[in-house]
Amino acid sequence: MEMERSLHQGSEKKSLRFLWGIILLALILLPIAFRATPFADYLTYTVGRMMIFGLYAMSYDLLFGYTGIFSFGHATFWGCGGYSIGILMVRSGWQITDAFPGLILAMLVGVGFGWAMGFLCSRVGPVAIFLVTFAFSQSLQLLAFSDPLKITNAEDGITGIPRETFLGLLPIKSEMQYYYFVLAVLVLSILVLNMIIRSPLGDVFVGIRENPLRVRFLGYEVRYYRIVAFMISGAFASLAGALTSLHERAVAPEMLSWFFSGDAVLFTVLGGPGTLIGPLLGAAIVIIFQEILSDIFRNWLIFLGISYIVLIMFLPKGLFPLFQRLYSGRREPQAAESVNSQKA
Amino acid sequence: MTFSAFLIQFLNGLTIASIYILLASGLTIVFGLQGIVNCAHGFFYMLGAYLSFMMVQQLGLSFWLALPVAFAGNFLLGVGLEFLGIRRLMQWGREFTHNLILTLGFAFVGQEVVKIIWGAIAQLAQPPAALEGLLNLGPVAYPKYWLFVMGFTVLVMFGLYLFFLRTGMGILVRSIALNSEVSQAMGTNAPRINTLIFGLGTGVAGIAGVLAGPILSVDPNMAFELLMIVFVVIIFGGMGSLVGVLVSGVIIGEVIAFGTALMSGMIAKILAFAVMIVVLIFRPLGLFGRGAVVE
Repeated sequence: MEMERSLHQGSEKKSLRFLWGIILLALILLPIAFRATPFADYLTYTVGRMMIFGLYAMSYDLLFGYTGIFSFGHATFWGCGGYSIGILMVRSGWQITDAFPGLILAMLVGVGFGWAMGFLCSRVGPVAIFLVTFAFSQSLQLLAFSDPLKITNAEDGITGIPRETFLGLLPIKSEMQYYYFVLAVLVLSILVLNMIIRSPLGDVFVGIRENPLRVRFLGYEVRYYRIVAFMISGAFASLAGALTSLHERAVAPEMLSWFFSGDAVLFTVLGGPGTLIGPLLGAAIVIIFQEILSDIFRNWLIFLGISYIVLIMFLPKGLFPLFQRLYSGRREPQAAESVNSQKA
Repeated sequence: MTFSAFLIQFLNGLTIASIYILLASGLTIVFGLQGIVNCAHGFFYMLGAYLSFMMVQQLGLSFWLALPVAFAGNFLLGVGLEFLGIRRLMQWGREFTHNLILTLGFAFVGQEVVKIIWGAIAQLAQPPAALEGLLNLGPVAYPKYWLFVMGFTVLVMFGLYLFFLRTGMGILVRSIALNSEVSQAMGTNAPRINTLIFGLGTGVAGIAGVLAGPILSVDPNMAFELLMIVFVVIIFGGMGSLVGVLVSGVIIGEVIAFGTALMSGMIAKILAFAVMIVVLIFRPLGLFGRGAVVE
């Protein structure tokens, strides 16, 4: 495992950096290039949504792709992030218009729920994690619906979330300003997530995915590290959820629906689990298709299901590794990639 | 709460428990055999309900015909899914997560197909004419159909018990659950039996759907709505244990019934989840879970 990774890291790095650069440049130039066109607002809104979903997908990738935990309750964090910023800015009655405390609170709440879910999952086997996480997110959605403590405003959700400034000086009011704010958060998150994955902690995560027993023999408490993975993943997913509720200026119990958990799985499986950039692209692809298909075909979800089946049967590593192989295969066809593909 | 009100809630709990038990048993048997969870189980339940709705309400056929047809249809579909999908993935040596994602995709496709065929509006199935009305039980009168659901569930579970403990096939199934490699070395055709048992599980889910139709509403969201409680039942009873499903199904059914009566339906479901949290903290294996679930 270790050897394989160091083997293909060299060639991977070059092509990856190039790709990241192109994507970043395109994202920066996009709103400026289409500024004068009539669909500028629609475009910045949709691409902003793609970036937020991309962050959400990457947070799931840390859990599923790197640590090998198959959770079907990622919407928990998505919804909790949205609710924590909504409750702080609207329901608390404190008249907070700055986005900063809300986003920080969302991440902290994400860490807390990540701990809770990780703790429950650490008690059961790998397959049962699916059951526990699903029940967790469903019961939280019921809690938001029934609203026994009168804080989530039941099925109406919270509307009218203000979006004025960030840290008092950065305006994020217009679509374009918010677009660049989301882009900055995304880039920062990618850097942090990349740092985590390249750190010894990230190596432990990958070790747990590949062979939990061996990692345990090396002296790591596997259960503890799984909970840590849930907490980190929860923080970023929650941040993405909070960004969404700022984007829509509203939050509803539907954000906690299993549907978004399924989205996280699809983005990751489509893009390529364990690649970080893959799920980001996966989210973009799915949202483009969603925008096109949901207008012309009401039951477009059927394509979502079919893509699950086809991908997992015939392309379990996702689109990105395929693309990567084509890309680096053309430039330097060497042994590194074949070692990698033998593992499949 | 008076005694008769208590009794009615208790019987309600047993009725809803019957549906949970039928659904959870198929899931838990497949987990015990193949170590995977069929995420499309809720879809098979929904399909059973819609097949019965179509046959009884739309085509005017008998309810008693709908039961075997739903079982057979779901059995065949389940066998197809196992044979074409899950068995291939197992042969290719894939991780268990791939099987979960495959069945999840199948559930999404199935749900949309149901919406296309029958529409997205909730339907209400009718109980058969012979079972309409109330039956006087002394202190209370209770719907005949609901009593029938309980009785039929007992029958199905007794049939499963006989199948697993008293037939040659049942012994082979148990040997695979105990140790698949050794059993196959003795000449058991494990893949074929796995396929059959997978079909049996989806077939029983279809029966649960037919039975639940006149009690709960028949709508395209029913698949995932009920699944949460069924998962709680399985974890509570212990993954892979049929006896565990029976006991925990009844307990969770009563929690839901009394929670709904005293507070609200949503709070009752949250209570059921709270029960699962307590179980996971104090007994992670569940009531009757064996073996090393925790690594």
